[in-house]
Amino acid sequence: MRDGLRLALGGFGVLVALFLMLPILIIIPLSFNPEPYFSFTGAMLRLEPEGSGRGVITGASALYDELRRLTEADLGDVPPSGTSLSSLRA
Amino acid sequence: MTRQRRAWGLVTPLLVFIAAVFIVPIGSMLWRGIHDTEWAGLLPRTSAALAARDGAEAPPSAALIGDLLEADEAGRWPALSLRLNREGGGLQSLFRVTLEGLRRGDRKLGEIDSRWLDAASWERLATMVRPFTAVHLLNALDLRLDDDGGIVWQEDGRRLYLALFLRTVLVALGVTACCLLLGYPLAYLMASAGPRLRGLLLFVVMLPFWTSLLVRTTAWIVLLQRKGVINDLLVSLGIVGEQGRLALVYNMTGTMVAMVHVLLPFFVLPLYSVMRGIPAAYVRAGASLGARPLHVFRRVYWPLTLPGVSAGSALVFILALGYYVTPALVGGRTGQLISNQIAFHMQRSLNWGLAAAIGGLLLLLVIVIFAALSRVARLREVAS
Repeated sequence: MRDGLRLALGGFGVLVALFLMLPILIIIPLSFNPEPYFSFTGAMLRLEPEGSGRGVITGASALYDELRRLTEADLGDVPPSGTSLSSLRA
Repeated sequence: MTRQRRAWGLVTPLLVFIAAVFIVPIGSMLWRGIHDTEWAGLLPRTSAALAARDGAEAPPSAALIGDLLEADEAGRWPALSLRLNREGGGLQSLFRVTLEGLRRGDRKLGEIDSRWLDAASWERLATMVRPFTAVHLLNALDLRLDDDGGIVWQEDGRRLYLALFLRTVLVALGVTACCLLLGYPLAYLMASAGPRLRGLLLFVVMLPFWTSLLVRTTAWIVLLQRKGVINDLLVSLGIVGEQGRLALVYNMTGTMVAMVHVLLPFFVLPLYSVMRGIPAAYVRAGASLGARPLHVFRRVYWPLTLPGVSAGSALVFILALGYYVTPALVGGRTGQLISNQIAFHMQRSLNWGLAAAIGGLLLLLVIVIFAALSRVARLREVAS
């Protein structure tokens, strides 16, 4: 078979392979997206870490901070981090 | 004899399994399409009396009065009303008026509503409550029984299923054609590539198989939606304006694209296995005898790949005919297929008889198409 035809067929085959693969590859980063809808945010497209996958971790750490703040406010006296359990019992 | 018995012993568990999980459920579903026992539960005395009634006998008014009062007392009127509404033809209003009269204390049906004096009303009721009914099958073909028992088309606003059957067949044909156009070069590339590229391409083709159908369909929503990747790309390239974003999902386009993506591996894999078995020397021999590449393809390669093409096409076409999840998720209002109507009648309207009739007709359609395809294939064998 002529090289040109072979190249065209190969190129088309690669495009079809991309068609099969791309949707799955594209949805992977979105599964880490903290947005309520499946969409790429502006920050994600600018490749800013807060807008992309790390947003989940940012969100989780914000939740953690908030919980910590609430707990401290309610309980008042929270032992400093690194305090061992045995010292608390004592 | 012992050997035969042993062979049966080996085969029997499989036969029992196939009968239990395949033949019995499908058979009972098809049976439901023509056998209706709902009336025997809703109006037990009336349906029994009408079944035993000779044409000359007086209509079983007492049985109907008893059934209606009992249904009202037992709280079965909503179910009865729903079923009467499904039958159409003003029966629901007739029964409602009758029940209101009975609640007032009237016990003469003819005085409550003069329609009960008409023998045609009783005939209609008798046809309706028969355990064996063609009503669901007729309904599934956009037909109905008129007051004289003749078969007529549904009114214009109620015709739905024939158009949906046609749409389903056209979508299945379109998806099969797209799979042929996209899958043939890919399968060829896989069959003629070196081991490394072949492994990579096989991985790519198998990748959708390893991913949940829901994930793949959701991925297409992400790509095709108005604020999705493809529309964003088109806007950023200036091909369409911000206001002119394309509606690529929740319509037939979305259904087609997602279905081709899901079904393409089913086309590529059988075709690839057939292409792998074709010796490269055949094509080289054709070329060395002076044929142009397209001529070699048309006279040598294409005929040899036909078994793979027909196997892949049949697989994709049959799967596409009964496709449900993808059209339900990305089809919107205009991209729904006949299987979505079956699901609607099974889950929402609870008209299992109609769902069974549509399912039965779909099965019949598949069998007819398959028989026609195999006949064409055999004719081709004879011709060659």
